[in-house]
Amino acid sequence: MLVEEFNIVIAGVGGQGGLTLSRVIAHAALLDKYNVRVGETLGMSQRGGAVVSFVRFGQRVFSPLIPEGEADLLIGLEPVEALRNVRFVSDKTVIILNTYPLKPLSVNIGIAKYPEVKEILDLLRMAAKNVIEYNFYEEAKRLGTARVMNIIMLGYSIGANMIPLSEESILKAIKAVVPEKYLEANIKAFERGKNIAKQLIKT
Amino acid sequence: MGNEAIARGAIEAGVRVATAYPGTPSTEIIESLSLVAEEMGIHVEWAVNEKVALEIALGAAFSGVRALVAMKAPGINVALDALMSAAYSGTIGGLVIVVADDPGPHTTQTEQDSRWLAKMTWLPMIEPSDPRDAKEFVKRAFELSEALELPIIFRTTTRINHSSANVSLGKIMKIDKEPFFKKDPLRYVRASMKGNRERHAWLLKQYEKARNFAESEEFCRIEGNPDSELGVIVSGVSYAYLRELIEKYSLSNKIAILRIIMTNPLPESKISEFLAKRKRVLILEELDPYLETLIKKIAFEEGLSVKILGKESNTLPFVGEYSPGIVLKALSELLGEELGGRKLRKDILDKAGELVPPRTPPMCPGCPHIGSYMALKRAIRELGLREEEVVIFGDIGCYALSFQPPFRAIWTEHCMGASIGMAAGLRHAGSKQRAVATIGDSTFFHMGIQPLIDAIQHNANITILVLDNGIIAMTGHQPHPGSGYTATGKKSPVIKIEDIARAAGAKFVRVVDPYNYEESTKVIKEALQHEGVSVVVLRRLCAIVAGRRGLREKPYFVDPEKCIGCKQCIMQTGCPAIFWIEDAKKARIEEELCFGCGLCSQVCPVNAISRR
Repeated sequence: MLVEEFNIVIAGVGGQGGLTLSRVIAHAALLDKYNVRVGETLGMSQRGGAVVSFVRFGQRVFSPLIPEGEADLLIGLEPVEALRNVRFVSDKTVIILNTYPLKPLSVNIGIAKYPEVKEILDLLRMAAKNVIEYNFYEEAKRLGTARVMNIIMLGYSIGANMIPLSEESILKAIKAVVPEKYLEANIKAFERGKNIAKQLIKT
Repeated sequence: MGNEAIARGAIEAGVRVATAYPGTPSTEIIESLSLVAEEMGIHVEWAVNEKVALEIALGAAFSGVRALVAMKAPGINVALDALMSAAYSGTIGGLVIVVADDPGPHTTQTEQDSRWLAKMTWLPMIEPSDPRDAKEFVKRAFELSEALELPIIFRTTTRINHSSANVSLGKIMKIDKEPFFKKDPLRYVRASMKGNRERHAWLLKQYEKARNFAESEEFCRIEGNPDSELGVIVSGVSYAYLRELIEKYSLSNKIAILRIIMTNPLPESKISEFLAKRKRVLILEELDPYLETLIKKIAFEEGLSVKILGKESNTLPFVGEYSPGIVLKALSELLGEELGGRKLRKDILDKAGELVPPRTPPMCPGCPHIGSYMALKRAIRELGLREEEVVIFGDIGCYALSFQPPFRAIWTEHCMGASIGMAAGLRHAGSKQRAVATIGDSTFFHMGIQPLIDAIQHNANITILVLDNGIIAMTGHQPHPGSGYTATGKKSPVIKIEDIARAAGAKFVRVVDPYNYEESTKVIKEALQHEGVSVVVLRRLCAIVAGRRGLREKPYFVDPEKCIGCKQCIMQTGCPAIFWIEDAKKARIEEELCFGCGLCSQVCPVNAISRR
């Protein structure tokens, strides 16, 4: 059955694959016959800047932006970036968070402080319905490259039924969006994410 | 994506010439067209600047073919001279001028509202609300342009250009018309003042004809409850926000909606009828109160006492982009009832605001501009000059990020090519400060050549550093005249910046590799001591492009045994691949991010950094 409205916020750092992730999910939603909107801001965020994108699908979706508090799912590719977008989170939101921090230049050169990840988690837990935390970065490194972290988190979200889209469409979408030479690594990453979800749900 | 939808609309309309200078958020229109240019027989090009781009499109349209030109908001300022005259000449083939404004702003120097330029030029203007609209109305814009013999301004905003939605594909028109420019000097030559008066009158006559389209159902639509005392007049992306809220809060029987798609000329009769039936009307538009001002004029002329809510009533903000939340609040004010929305925890938002450190985009690992600014700052130090004694004028491009710490380099960044003229101006004012202009390669081709010639003619004592990374980097790596290939990948002559500088008469012209810290510093020092115009081209391919072409070198690493924790590598390069490990008080290089440029190893005082 098609849902009326489903809102996903993807928050991360330029270069982490947030835009690829939003395009994969949007493509899958199209295959599942949804009305889809994607809102992105491009330019100046190719590498290292804060990036947020919105994917929305459903029967009643017109705006490319998600209203505050209306995220059903927040995919936090980086802890501080998840917190930067906490205004989209409310008691209906599920958050999936990579707990490995990427410290911005402002922190490296000592003009700003990076908060404790525990502090971030505490706040996100207060704001959201549920927070799933995991060091997806380490997991991606184990698969050989941090670049597939986005797709591991997608695999987890599908494995844990956090996105109302069919796995078949997601896989088709990955094939359509990801360049041929990186496809195998990304399919592997997707499976890895699904397995982590299964293991965590069992325990 | 909206930009892809515009490109598709142009293809379906049988466009033959499409051109632009890249500028966020408009870039992907021409980029998408470049991918199918050969197959579809379209001439697609990245022009040196927006004025040239418009003139290319105009020349093509004079011969009867359809042409499109795209630009970001500041681009239409550059093209404005051409645009004013184009309005008097009019066009034969359909000519669509896409201008992408940037409320926010996300990536533009001002929150310019280009709609006023439609008023100034008397050219018809169409505004879509989403990608689906964008595709269909671009097609219509070509038809209107031919029917009215006028260029059409197709105005978008970032949330249309860069949002994606379902779009269905239509048939591609085949136009088999032999391009031919028919001589008609009275129309095309602006030298006759009598002729210009006649063309002015002609333009106003065509503008009157455009009103018929503006008033039609296609470009001006009534929705909601037509009998309600409350009304909303809306255009652009705000319509998407409104539409969603109307559905969500079941407001369609409480409010009358007038959606305006052609925003110049305005459908004045429709607006006046709409106002006459309402007590209160909310105007939804981003940026300036353009509709609001013009609608108030209509209300005044009709003697209507309807209450107008908008920016001037402080119902909506002048600054920044709208959001569903902002529109919801304005609707609540119109209705006189709180529509709600989700409750957010203010304490959490406040705490998050306190904790979150800024993350503005830094220059990339391996970015050659890092080396250029390191060398410039070192040259200044080694000449015994204080920071305030050397004014560094900046320009538009990735290198403008050098205003941020740790560089804090450039003092200004205004518009394309401004650095050179402003540097010269400081010297002509008689300031004892040294003047350095730092300008990118593509910015130099766009608008840097003329001020260079001016500076040489007037013997300005300035140093120009051209940071040449071989490509238009910030907008996503489009080629320019120095790149050696065109938008469609065809080989083209490499036009060299140093050749242009020498041809213009510059006596000090040097080319250096910014990865070579010693040599770059030495050359910049010499340039700063040269009397007159000195030009240094710091040449090294953009690291992202180099990476894609397999030119990445082996990464560097920090030997923790040798590292003394002085942070020089981080503080001097600002490289985002180097991290400070607080516990160990050491630097660490993330090797997956490292490009292997070696600049950090050249500033380490204890040689702790070496190649893997």
